[in-house]
This record gives sequence, structure tokens and C-alpha cells, in this order.
Amino acid sequence: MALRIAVVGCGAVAEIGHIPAACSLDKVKLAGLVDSDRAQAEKLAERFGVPKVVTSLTEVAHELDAVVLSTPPHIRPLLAEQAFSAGLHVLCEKPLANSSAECQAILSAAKRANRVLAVAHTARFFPNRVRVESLLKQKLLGKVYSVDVEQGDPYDWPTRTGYPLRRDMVRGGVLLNEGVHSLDALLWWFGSPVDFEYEDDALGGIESNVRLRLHFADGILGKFRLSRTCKLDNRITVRGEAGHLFLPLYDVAGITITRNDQQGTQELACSNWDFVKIVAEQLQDFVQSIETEKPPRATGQDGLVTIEFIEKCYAAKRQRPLPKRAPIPGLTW
Amino acid sequence: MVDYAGRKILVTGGTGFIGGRLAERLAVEEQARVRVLVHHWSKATWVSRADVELVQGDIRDPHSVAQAMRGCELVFHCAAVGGTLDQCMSINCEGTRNVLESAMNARVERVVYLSTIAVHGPDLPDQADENDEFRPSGPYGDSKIDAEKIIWQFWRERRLPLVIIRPAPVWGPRAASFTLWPLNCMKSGQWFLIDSGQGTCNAVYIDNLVDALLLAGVKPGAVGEAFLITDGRPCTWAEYFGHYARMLGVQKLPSIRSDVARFASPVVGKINGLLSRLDHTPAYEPARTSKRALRWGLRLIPRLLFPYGSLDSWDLRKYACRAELNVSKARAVLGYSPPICLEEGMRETEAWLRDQRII
Repeated sequence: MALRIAVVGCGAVAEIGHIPAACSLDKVKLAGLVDSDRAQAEKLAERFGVPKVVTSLTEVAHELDAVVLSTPPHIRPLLAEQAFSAGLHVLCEKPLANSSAECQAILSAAKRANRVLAVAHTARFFPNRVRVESLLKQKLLGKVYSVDVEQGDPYDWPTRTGYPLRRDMVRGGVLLNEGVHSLDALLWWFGSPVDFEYEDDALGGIESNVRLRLHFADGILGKFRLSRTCKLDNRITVRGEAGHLFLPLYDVAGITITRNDQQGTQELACSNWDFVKIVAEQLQDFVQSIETEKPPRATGQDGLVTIEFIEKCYAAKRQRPLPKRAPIPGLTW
Repeated sequence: MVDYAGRKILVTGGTGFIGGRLAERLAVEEQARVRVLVHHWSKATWVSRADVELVQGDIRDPHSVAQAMRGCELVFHCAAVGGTLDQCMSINCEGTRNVLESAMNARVERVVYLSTIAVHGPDLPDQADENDEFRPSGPYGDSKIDAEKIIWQFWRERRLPLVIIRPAPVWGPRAASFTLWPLNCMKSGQWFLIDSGQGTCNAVYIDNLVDALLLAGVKPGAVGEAFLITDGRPCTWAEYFGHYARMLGVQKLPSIRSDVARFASPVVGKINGLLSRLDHTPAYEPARTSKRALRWGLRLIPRLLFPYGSLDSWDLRKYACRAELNVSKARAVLGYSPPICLEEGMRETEAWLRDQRII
């Protein structure tokens, strides 16, 4: 029998990801859409043929097995609590919540209800990210000594509420909202850093440019440059004593590997960005986790670890007083 | 510099280049409580870095302007667009009327309006000041003239405390027209000087302009007055654009004589008009050889006349003009003393351009 789900929050990521992904899976029945903006939910319900539209989760919870929470993060803890109390499994958009305390509350609620909590760290479903993890485990590059991440584009996410830019809805800017995927990949591949140096361009608001140096175990140095104001190289480069590899951030499958003992480079499969397919795979993994009781690929704990690290970065920044003269835009300090 | 601490201030156009820098300096340096009216969220990435309140709205909608105005003591009205006459009129004029009506209703203490030197046209007489006449010149300039007329009407007839700031071309980090555009043209070899760049550059660095705006918001003698704002130390366009050329490693910028350019510009305009009509031939209708040859020949003429790109007649007149603007009124009434010189501003601009990977 198909898993009955509702998508809660009908903004951009629901419209271009979760709803079409749910509609594409046989194992899932998209039973309803929930949004405080009923007109928006009705518009999407009509477009995707979803039978029910409500303005609060409690109205429809008894007809469901699970929910996808794709609201802005500030209301996710409350909605997750409602969902777990009603015995539903939860796939939650990233970041899991605005703070580690809120993440902990969501994890506790999932544990009490004995329900699956998965986090939409979507990049974990990119074949090239999975491949890098296995190549690193196989020591393909020998001893790894550095990883560089460049992620940046002028911001153009079609947000309805503007939440990624509003401090009343999010606790952070580009690191918390866009950078969380790359940061999650780094923590997944290399573990938690033993030390770090963090700079951003926030001036009492939320950051749009970030420079982060991460010191991982075994002397691996990570450099992470992140921007929502300018175009950067958008790629991850890992260097080791036996060669290096890089992967474009917005290609789900491509990896280029250059080994010192071989001439030329090895290009592994490349494929076009298909967001719906990736989100569908994430949903499939969530369904499988419910059926088999195996943890999902990105667990609530993974979401918590990322947020805990981001909080440490912000705490380090807060120790520095605001400059007397506003620095030139974008300059990190 | 001036006391804005704790005061609630609305900045329209706060997601843009000038309004954005003003909003962040009000919040960071003056500890003001700043509210910014946001039309497109995607444009709010710069101003969201500061401790400001972002409220969604459209300046063309009186209701959303009134909501944004609620509780504000001061307004800096910086929202404006270029584009078609309809766009310019609806945002620059009707938007201004909405802001002023709301400001009247909310009884704000003062509205500072960001106008433009464009109201005086591209080639002003030497030592031109705020009393120089208005010269209609195109959709943007014309709409700003009309907006100023609305402003003066509110001041004269309804005694709304108003100050008008008319900046010269504004440059610096994030400046689209006078920093990014010439720089990007130079990158592709499409920028040239007029008369070897010997025209007078009366530009203003963004932070000098923000200083003037901050003064205009508090100085008692400023109400009911307009002020021209420049860097106060004119240079030549050759010096100004030479800084961008140096940043890009361009050895020498080509030059065209203004009399040749003025003769050629309308010819090129006419040819381009003719080409646009010829280009409207439907794709499925094969053009005859003679027609193709005509198109090819016509396209060649502008390239021969303007081998390094093209400028419109407004820009040609502006870059040929050798007049120095008189900003003594701003110095006397506002106490305006621009602290940032060309070299320092260019150092900051270069740092921004490199940081944002533009150069």
C-alpha cells in the first residue's frame, strides 16, 4: 500500500521539488497540501492533482502516514512536534531548524514517537558525492591534504516569503541556507573539524559572503568560500599525495580525477541537473527507511551536527565587535 | 557624525546600490532602526547583512507604502528605475507621490529625496549649481523632473519637510552605470574616451554621497532646498576611466573626437533603426542576396564609425562637457566635506571588484 503523505509548506522548494517528486513515485500517495496561504496551496493542488488542501497540519494528520516539511525553518519545530504527536514520520527540509536546541527538540520528539526523521540534505543523493566518499575510503588519492569548496551565485531562489533573507525567520544567511549542503558533505567525508577560522560579511544582519578554514583530523585543511552575491567556481577540489579530484557543485554525477601515476585525467559520468529526480530518490530513501526501519541516508543527527557546527561559526563571529565604519560590501571580517 | 541613534527610518530603494549602502551605514555607523521596503527578495542579499527590518511591498501600491511608513520618523526615498517611459513614470513619479502622501499621513519629520543631476541634462554650463534649469532628456531624466515637481508641490502647498539631493554620476562598489558597465565594456575592448578623456568628470563616490544624504536628514537649514553633490574635486574622464583600465591591465584606452562622434551618432542611430526593420524579416522567408548584402553593408558602417563600441548622444555630450559643477551650497548649508578622494575610492572599489571576482 502506498505511503500517504502531505507536503506542508507550498513555497518554491515544494513546487519545484517535493510535490512533483511525490507525484512521480508509485509507493507514495500525495494525499494533501498544507499551507497557511490557502490560495497558493490550491493553485499547486490543481496543477498537480492533489485531492486535499488545508491550512493546518492537524486538520489532515489522521489521514496520513508521513509529512514533508518544506516551510521556513522557524516554524518547523512546532510542525515536527505536531507530526510526531500524530504518529507521522517526517522528512524535513534543511536546515533542520534554526538552532541546535530546536534540532534536539525535534530529535527527541522523533525518538519519543518512534518515528523516522530524515533531513533533506539532498546532495547526499548525488552519485558523485557518494562516489567521493567511497574513493576517499579506498585511499585513491593517498593521504589527503586539502579540500577546497567554492560555492557562489547571485541569489535568485524564487522564495515566496523571503525567509532566507529575513532574520525574523532564519538565524543565518548563506552558510545556514545554501552552504549547509556543502558543509554537510565535508563533515560526512572528513568528520567534524578539530579547529576552524570563520569570517563573514554580516554587519548585525545575516551573512551573504563567507570564508571558512577547517582543520580536519590528519592535517587535512579545508577552505570554504561561499557567496550569494557573486559567481564563484562552484566546485569541490580534493587534493592528496597521489593526485586530486574535483567535482562541479551543480552536476550530480561528474567527477574528474587526476592521479600522479597516470597520464591525463579520468572523467567519470556526467549528467544534467535533474532536481525532481534527486528529490524523488530522497523521498524513496525516506519511504524505504520507514518500511525497513533502517536509518535514512541523512538522519536528524546529521542535521543536528551541521547546525551545531554552524552555531560555533556564528558564535566565533559574535565575539568580534562591529567595525565603526561599515566595510566595503562583501568584505568578510 | 550626526545623531540618528535609535531613530526609526524608512529607506525606499534600500535593496539598490545607493539606498542599500545608506541603509547599512545608518544601521552600523549611526545605530538607527532602519526599515527597508523590499520589492524583489533576490535583490535583498546586500542589505540583509545589516541589522535592518525588511518589509515586502511595492512603491506603486499606496497601502504597502503606508504600512512600511508606520512609526517612522524619517524617510530616505531612494527608489527609482530606468527603462521605458511607463516604467519610469509609474515608479519614479507615482511611487514618489505614494511615499509623500504616506509621509504626510504618518507625520514624518523629514523626507530626503534622492534625485539626480540628470534633471539638468548632460552638458551643463561651467559652475552650474542647483538653480540651473531643468532640461528634458529622456524617460529617466524626464520622470525625475516630474518627480521633483511633485516634491516641490508637497513642500509649497502642504509644508511637508523635504530635502532634495541631486548627485552627479555615482561610482564605487556595486555601481552599475559608472563602475561595472565601463569596466565590463573595457574587458571586451568596447570602451573608448571622448576627446582623449579631457571632459570634466563630476562624479561622486558612493560613501561621499551617503555622507551628504545623512547630513540632509538632520541639518536644520536643509529643508525646502535642493543640493548638487559631487566629490568636490573634479578630475578628467581620462583620469577616472584610467583607474579601471589600470585594474584590467589595459595599456591605453582608444579615443574618438566629439565632433566626429556627434556627427556619426545620429547616422548610426538611423542605420540601427533601419537594420531593426530589416531584421524583422520572418526567419522562414529567405532573404534575397541583395537584401543580405544591404544588411551586411549597413552593419559595417557603425563598426567603421565606432570601432570600439557605441555611446548614445546623452553620454557623448556628458563625456565631452568640460564644465565644473558648483557644490558650494552643499558645503555651506549641509557642512558637506567629502572625505574620500578619487584614489582612495578607487582602492576600495578595486578591493570590492576583486573580492566579488569581477576582475
